[in-house]
Parts: sequence; C-alpha cells; structure tokens
Amino acid sequence: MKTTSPTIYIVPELEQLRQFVAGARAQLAELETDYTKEKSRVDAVQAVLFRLLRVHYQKRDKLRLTVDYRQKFLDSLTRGDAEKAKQAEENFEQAKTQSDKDYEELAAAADKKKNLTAEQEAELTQLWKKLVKLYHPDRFANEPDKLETFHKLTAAINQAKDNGDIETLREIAEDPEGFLLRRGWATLDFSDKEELTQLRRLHETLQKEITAVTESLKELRESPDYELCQLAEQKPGVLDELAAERGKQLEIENAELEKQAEQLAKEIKKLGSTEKIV
Amino acid sequence: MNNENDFALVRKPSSAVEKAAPGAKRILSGMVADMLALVRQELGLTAEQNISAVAQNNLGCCYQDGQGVAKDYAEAVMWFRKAAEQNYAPAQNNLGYCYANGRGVERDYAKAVEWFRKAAEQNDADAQFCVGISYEHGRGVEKDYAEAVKWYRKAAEQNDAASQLHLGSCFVNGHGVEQDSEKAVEWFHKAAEQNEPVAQFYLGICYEHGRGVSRDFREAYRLYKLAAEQNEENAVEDLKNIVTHMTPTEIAEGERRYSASRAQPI
Repeated sequence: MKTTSPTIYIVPELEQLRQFVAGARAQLAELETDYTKEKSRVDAVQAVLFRLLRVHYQKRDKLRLTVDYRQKFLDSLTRGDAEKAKQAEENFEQAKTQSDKDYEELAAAADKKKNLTAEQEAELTQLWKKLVKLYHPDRFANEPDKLETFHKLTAAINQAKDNGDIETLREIAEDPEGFLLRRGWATLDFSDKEELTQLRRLHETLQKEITAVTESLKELRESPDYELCQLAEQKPGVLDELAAERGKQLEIENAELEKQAEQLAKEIKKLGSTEKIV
Repeated sequence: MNNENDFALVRKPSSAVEKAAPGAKRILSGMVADMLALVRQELGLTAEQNISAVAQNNLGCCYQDGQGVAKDYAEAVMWFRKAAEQNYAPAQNNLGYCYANGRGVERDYAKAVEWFRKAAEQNDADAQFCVGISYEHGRGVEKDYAEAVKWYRKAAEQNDAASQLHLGSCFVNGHGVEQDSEKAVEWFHKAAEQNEPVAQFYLGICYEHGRGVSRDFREAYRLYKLAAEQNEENAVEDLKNIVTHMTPTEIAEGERRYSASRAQPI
C-alpha cells in the first residue's frame, strides 16, 4: 500500500540537513580557529616591531611634518600671503596632534598584545566548536530587538577574535546566556529549530559565513603582515637584528631631515619674519 | 581607539588604500613594508609580485589541503612552482610530491626527483629522504643503493625518522653498504625513539632474534606492543607469538617497560 504521509519522506531529509549543518559548523569552527591563531601571531609580530621602532618612526614623522610645514610657510611668506602662512601653521599643529595620538593608540594596543600560549591555541578549537553553535542570524530576522542583540553578540565575538582575546571568547562560549545577561542585553534562544525550512536557512547562512571567513583568511595570508610574520618565524631573531639595522637607517634619515628643517628655519629668519617658527 | 582597528589587517599595497587608511594603520603598514624589504633581502628572497616564496608556498599548502580555500591541486602546483623557482626548499619538495603522486600535474618521477634534489641539496631532510627513496626504488633515476644510502644518511643525521628506518634497512640487507646488523639496530633505535612504528617493529625483530643486539624478549615485547598500537599489523602477530615463549615475569617486565614508554613521550 502506498503511504500518503509526508513524514516518511521528510524525516530522512531532516536528518541529512542536520548532518549538513553539523558539517558546516565543524568547518566553520576550524576556519575560525585558524584565523584567530594566525591573526594573533601576525599582530604579535607587529606589536614587537612597533615597540622596537616606534621612537625612530615617530621622530621621522614629526620631522617630515615640520619640514613640510616650514617649506609651505616660507613659500607663503615669499609670496606675501600671510593668510596661507597661518593656514599652514594650523594644519601643521593639527597633523602633529593627530600623529601623536596615532602613536599613543598603537602603543596602548601593542602593550595589551600578548602571544597566545600553546594551551590557549589548543583551547581555541574547543571554544570555536561552541561559538559556531550560537550562529543563528536567520532566527532573529523578524524580531528587531533580538536581532540587535544578536548583532551585538556577533560584534563582541568578532572583536575578541581579532584581538586574540581568549578570555572573552571563553566567557561567551561557556555561558552565552550569562554573557548577555551581564550586559543587560535581551536573551536569545540558541537552540536549533527542528523544522525543515529553518534548518535549511541555517545551513545557508552557515555557508555564507564560511565563505566570509575563508575570504578573511585568504586576505590575511596574502598580506605583507602575514608574510613578515612567516619569515620572522622561519628565522628567529631576525626581527630584532633587522629592526636594529632599520633603526640605524632611520637615525641617518632623521639627521638629514633635521638639517633640512634647520635650513628652512634659517631662511624664514632671513626673511625677517616676526612669526614664531614652530 | 576602536579596538577592531588595533593592528588590524593592512591591505595589499595600493596607493589609493594607503592614502585612505587611518593614521595608525598607515604607520604600521609602513613599518611592515620597510621591515619586509629588509627581511627579504636578508633571506635572499627575490621579490616576486607582492608575496615571497614563503607565502607562495603557504598558499600552495592551503590549496592542497583545502584549508581556508576550496581544494585545488592545480592551483597548489602553480603556487609551489612559483616558490620553488625562487629556490625555496620546502616548496621544491612540495612540488616534487605533486609530480611523484600525479597531484595537480601529470605524474612524472624524473621531474619529481629533479625538484627533490634541488631541495635536498639545500639540506632539506624531507627532500633528502625522497631522493634516497627514488634511488632505492629506481623511480625517475637509475636504481642505485649507494646513492640511496648517501641521501638517507644525510637526512638520518638530521634525525629524520623515516630516513633512519630506511638506512637501518639498508644495513640489514647490505644494500649500498656492508651488511651490518649492529649499525641497523642503531638506526632503528633512533627512529623507534621517535615512535616510528615500522622501526619499532623491525627493532622488535632484532631483539626477538638477537640480531645485532643481545636477545631480549622483554624489549621485543615492548617494541611490538608500541608498534601494534599504531596499527602495525605484523607487530600484532609477532606480539601474539612472542608471549607464548615468555614467562609471566618476563611479560610483566615487558608490560612495565611498555607502560613506561607510553607514559613519557617517546
């Protein structure tokens, strides 16, 4: 006898979808783990580099700004354009403040940056297996407040991922509801819906996320930052050694810039400017 | 500062992007670019497009393993080749594997050996093993045991377990060297210590039959069991067989040694 019940057909498909979802999650977790690890290594190398070279680069940037400003100031004075000269000075002050601020920001970030330990790297795999289960953007599409919470949560995860902030990743992975609660955000239900269309949507969104992370990972691996990190790992000590060399190069460059700046200051003085020389 | 931008990825050099990038990013990308140029120079890498041989090889591995990208052997071969042509040994070795296995390229043992040899001459242990095995089996080159031994030895001295195993076998069979069981045992030992299952099995045989070493069933038991748990089928058989010749005390001692090897990384 032929059966008319659709369940006989649907159930195997549900089961298959569940497997697809599980497979996609496993893949996503693996990719996220790779990305977090590699990003963290790249950042650690940059933090080291920044600490080693900050002084020289900051000095050079300031000298470049000074030379540029004095040149413009001198040109304006020669043409008798006091207005332009004043403008150049204002721009210079602004650029200098901005540059100092940029270096301060980088210094703060470099200080915070720590290498992930081998244990932490190993832990990441477990954490991401849990974190990818929270990925349900399709679920909250029709509920604006929940969707907002979900976006905030995703942003928190992504920020922690990009900063190699394993504590936050752990906090979210171990107890997502608690994390939301502590921040006073709306609660979210993270369980998988057992309905065919919903599971299918979930699978689709997972695929999209896989594509996105794959792209980020590829970008990371093709970046000069990554290459430098790879080379530094290939030959330990090479960074310190070459940063010292780069420091010496910059000292020479800076001495040259200082000369130029002084020369310009003299010329400005010769013009008998009463304006202060910054 | 927006944390997301701390040490955030700096995109590929593109003047438009460079100009648009916020100050902090520009500072870092400048440092990276300057240092990269120095490091490349130091390592003798020629600038090919934007990425170095190391990065190209890495990309090749990603395509080969489908890590972060769809698996694509032909694409992997393309990247390995770019890096290999810059004389980067790991990439030369990878390209050799592709030729040897016909992966992403038509199988060609002669080409495989060519690439293995280039890397081997740069003292890449993996590649030295591959050159050795090519000579041992006459794949892509004329069979030549003495050459095989020469390359195995180079890699074995760098503690490459597979090469130690094969070098040991050459001593057992007198291939390319005088037959010498004691030397064979010596090399099997080194490989077995690195948990190489076949070496553990062979060394077990040496202990069971007192070849190149004094007969010791307890030691043979330990080695067979270590190999057996790594699915070395012959070892499973020999383990079953040897216990029938052992006293309970001997078995207990073998078991104790086995557990001790297990407890600490071998």
